[in-house]
Amino acid sequence: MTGSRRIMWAFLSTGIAIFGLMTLVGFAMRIEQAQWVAYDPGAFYALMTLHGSGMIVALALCGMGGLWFIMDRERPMNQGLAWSAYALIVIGVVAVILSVFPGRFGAAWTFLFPLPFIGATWPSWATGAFLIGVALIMLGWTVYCVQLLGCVLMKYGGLRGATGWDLVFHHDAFVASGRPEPPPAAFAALITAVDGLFAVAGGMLVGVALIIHWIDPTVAIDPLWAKNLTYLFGHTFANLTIYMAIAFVYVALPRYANREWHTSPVLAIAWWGTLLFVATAYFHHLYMDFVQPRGLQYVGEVASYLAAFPPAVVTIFGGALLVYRSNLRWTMGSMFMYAGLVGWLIGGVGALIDATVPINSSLHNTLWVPAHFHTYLLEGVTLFILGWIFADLETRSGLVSSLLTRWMVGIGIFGGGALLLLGWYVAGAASVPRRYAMQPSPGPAISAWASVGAILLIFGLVLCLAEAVRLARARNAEPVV
Amino acid sequence: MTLRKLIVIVSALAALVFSAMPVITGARDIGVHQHHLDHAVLMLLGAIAGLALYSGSSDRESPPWLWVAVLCPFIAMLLMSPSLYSLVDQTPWLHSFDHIVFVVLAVMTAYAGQRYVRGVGWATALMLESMAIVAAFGYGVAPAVTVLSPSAAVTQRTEPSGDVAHGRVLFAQNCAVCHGARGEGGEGPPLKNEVSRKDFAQAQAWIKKPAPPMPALYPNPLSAKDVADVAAFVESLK
Repeated sequence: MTGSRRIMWAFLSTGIAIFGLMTLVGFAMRIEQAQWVAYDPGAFYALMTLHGSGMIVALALCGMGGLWFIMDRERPMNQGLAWSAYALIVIGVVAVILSVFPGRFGAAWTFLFPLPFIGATWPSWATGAFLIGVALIMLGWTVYCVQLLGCVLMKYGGLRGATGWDLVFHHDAFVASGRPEPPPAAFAALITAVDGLFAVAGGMLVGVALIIHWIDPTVAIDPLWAKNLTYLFGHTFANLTIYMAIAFVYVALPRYANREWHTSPVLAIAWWGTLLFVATAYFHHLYMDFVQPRGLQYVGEVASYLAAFPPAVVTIFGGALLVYRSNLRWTMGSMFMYAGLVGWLIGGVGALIDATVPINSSLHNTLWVPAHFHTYLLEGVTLFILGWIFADLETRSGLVSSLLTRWMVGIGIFGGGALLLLGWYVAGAASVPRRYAMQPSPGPAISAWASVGAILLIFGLVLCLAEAVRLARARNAEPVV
Repeated sequence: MTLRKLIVIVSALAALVFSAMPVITGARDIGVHQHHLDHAVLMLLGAIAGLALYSGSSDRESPPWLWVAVLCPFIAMLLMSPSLYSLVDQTPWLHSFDHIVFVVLAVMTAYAGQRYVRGVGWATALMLESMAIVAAFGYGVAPAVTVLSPSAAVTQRTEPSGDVAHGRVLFAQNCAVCHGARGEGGEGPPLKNEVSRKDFAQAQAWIKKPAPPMPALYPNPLSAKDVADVAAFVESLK
């Protein structure tokens, strides 16, 4: 195994391990809401904190590893820096886990200041461990983004080349010059690096302010300011997990279809929308904060559409055309990739509905919110990651999974996943509030059905893991991906 | 002299003069908001100098410089702690030295970024500058909050005027299942000594319009008179 492949697999396997642990934590939350088990609400909020922050980091780790590997093939990067980013994030995750077990920190990562300090039911050291853990994760993320930015700048001749400016505005001259166009995955890398740094600037600032407040409680913090910066980082970071994972589709799906995915001017322009607007879409999280300047609320709605819609349409339409009449080989890898596009579309539409001001006023604090983000994270990002893992394993082993296995995995992950997700959508439409350990009726009944879906989903994931281990042990071919 | 060298010299000189202002003017007790903005100006000058300082081109990474470019903004934000401001504010020479440290951190952020890979310095410098400006609007700065003085709060308290005995009966029928028969708590929070948290009017308002998961019992099954009686009983719990 080459050094860069080892790095990719370190990120992927760590991310998958955290994902598995967080899936069990999420299941424990769901069955508590279904009233199948009962435990202290304080424990529920601690688990919710761990599940929320852990899942995002798990998916980010997987995306980071895969994207790093893809871009390293375009322009080799320093492996020591990648390992450093990995180490910082893993240490940060350990600190966050310690803050919950045994610290019982339960403010969630989306807390609104002064919550972690006033009204806390956990010890002060747990607050500190959580804040320092998140700061380390952000530091690792910063190292990663800077390295990724350096890579695209070196490879494509600066920002002008990396954004495909000449491809769009001087198309004929660009083609005549024979210069290589940035591949679609490079746009995902550029957006991740630029918007990742923009977002982490805000995250680091509020993180330092909170750590200083933890040390010296006399240091004041403006709650609205803190909430803006928390969501600037959190929302953008969560969104970038999908843009990192999209790179997997750009690279792997064409291999299954035996076609190439070219960069067109339309694709470049669509990604500019994400580049410019993904970091300002987070204002839709503050629609209910009436002290927020009204202009920013409008920006939030418009940016939500402009950041997500163009690349989704271009990518999903491009993916459909790529597969159309291509005699695509349906394997676990291609199945996950294609299904992920569908999940991204459904979750994206759910997100845009929620980002629309008049609708948000009804849905904002309901389970509709976890419904849409679980859709694009679970049936979008996760499937892209699983697709990427299986694409690599299938190539290296020369084997594919049996039809029966694919059906069983499909029933578990798509069927169980759909039931789990429907639980949130239906409960959201019935105004069941989110972030509640004990839900009012009809929450518990819906949660019970959703928990059945969760069991099916876990069954599918376990089967997937077993199949991945089987392929990994049988690998005998040289990697092509 | 090249334009690049001129930019370095002018920005460095401007930063030096600006850094020395506390010694020159003897200013003390600058507000946190203004202090952050002053540092943002200093770091802007430092970043310009840092960007102009590097003229080379890069076709490969210089990994150690990445660490400098990433850690300097982080250190700068730690040093922008309002706790430290109150310390340096009283000693002009220390304050000026503190300014020079910020300029050096900004120079290093931009220069190291450029040394790592040409072009990255712009990103790290912008990151530092945006952090410094945004800090002025919330880091150590909070909106004024109107707080009633204790005496005003006491004079404005509303005293219970309901029927405590009737309230006890209604409480047992509607509230005790969650809050306990004597308000000792259960699924719902304890209500003993609630009088220290809510006065009579606030207790009534809460019962009439509670936040989930507490159910709304007004106007059915509790009338306005019933709510007043339950509130009076709750206020009596010690």
